[in-house]
Amino acid sequence: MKNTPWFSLLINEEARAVIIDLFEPQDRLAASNTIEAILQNAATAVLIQELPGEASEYVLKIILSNDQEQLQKWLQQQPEEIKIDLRERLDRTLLELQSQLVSR
Amino acid sequence: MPAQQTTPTTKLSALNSFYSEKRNQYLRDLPDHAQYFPVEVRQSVDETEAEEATKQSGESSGMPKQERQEIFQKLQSLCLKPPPNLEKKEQLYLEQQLSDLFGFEVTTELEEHRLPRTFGKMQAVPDTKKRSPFGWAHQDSNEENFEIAAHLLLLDDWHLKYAHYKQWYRNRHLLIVNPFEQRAVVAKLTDCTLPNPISYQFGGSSKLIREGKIWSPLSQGIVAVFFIPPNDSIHPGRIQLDQ
Repeated sequence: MKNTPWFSLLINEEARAVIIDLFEPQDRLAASNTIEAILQNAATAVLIQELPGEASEYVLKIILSNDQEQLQKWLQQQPEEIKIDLRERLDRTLLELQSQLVSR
Repeated sequence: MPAQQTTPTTKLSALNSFYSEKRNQYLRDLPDHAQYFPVEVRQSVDETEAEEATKQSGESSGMPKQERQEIFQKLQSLCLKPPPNLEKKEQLYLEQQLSDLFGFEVTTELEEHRLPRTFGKMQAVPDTKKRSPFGWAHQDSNEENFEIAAHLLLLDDWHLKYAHYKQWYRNRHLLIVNPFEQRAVVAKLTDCTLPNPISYQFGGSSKLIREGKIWSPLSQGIVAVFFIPPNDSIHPGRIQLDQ
C-alpha cells in the first residue's frame, strides 16, 4: 500500500490539483508521482539547510528508511518555524513548476 | 490559472526535466547529501508491490555489509577481466557467495545450459523492438517490463539444437547484477538476438536499464548475468538490498 508522504499536510493541494489538471487523464498518475518526488526533494533540502546538524542527521536517517509515519510524528513535534519554511518552499516549488509547464 | 491543452508527451517530459533540473540544483548546493536526492521517481503502487514480493526473497540473507561490499568488488574486477572471466572452481565459489547474498540460488550454468557470456556489456534495446526472429517477446508481452536479451546464436551448438534451445531459454528468469552500483534486477529472457552482438553481449528493456542503474557512468553498461533456477517466490523486478 502506498504511504501518504510525511509532508502532505503542508502541500497546497489546490496548486497541485491545478498542475495535475494540465495533464491528459492517462498521464495523471505518472505526473502525480513525479510531482511527489519533486516535493519530497524540496522538503528534504529544507531539512538539510534549516535544521541544526544533529536534528537534521536524525530526521534524514528516518527519510532514508522511508518510514512516513515516523516522519509525520516527528513533524508534529517541530516548532512552527520549520513548518512555515517547509510550506513556503513547497509552495514556491509548485509555482515554479506550474509556470514552467504553462510557458512551454 | 486555467489549464492549457498540450500533448501529453510534451507535458510529462517537461515535468521530468523540471525534476532533473531541481535535483541537479540540490546536488550542486548540497553535495554531501546526494543520497537524499535519488534519481528514481517514485513508482506506481503496482510496481512497488511487485518489487516488494522480490524484496522478501532478497532480504533473507542478512549478510554483513562489509562482506557484501567485498562480493561486489570481486564482481567488478571479474567484469573487467577478459573472457573467460573465471575458472570453474572460482565460479562455484562465486555462485555460493551470490546465493548467500541474495537469499536464493544463483548459478552460471543450469541443467547444462549456459549463456554465451556471463559478464558483458548491456545495451538498451528500444521498446519498439518487440519481435525477435523467434517472436518470443511478440507472443508473450505487449507491455514494458523487466526484459533481457542475449545473443544465443553464439552458443557453440545453436545450429544443431536451436529447436530445443528456443524452448528452453524462453522466458528464463535471469539475475542481472550491476556491481558498480550494487544493484541487482531479476528479468525475463525474451529475445535471443541482439542488434549489435559484436559490441554488446546483452540487451535490456528500459525498465531494466533504469532499475539496475546500468546507464550510470560508473558501470558503463557492464553487468554480470546469472541463471535463477525455477523459484515461485522470485519475480521480475529489482532486488532490494539493505543499505
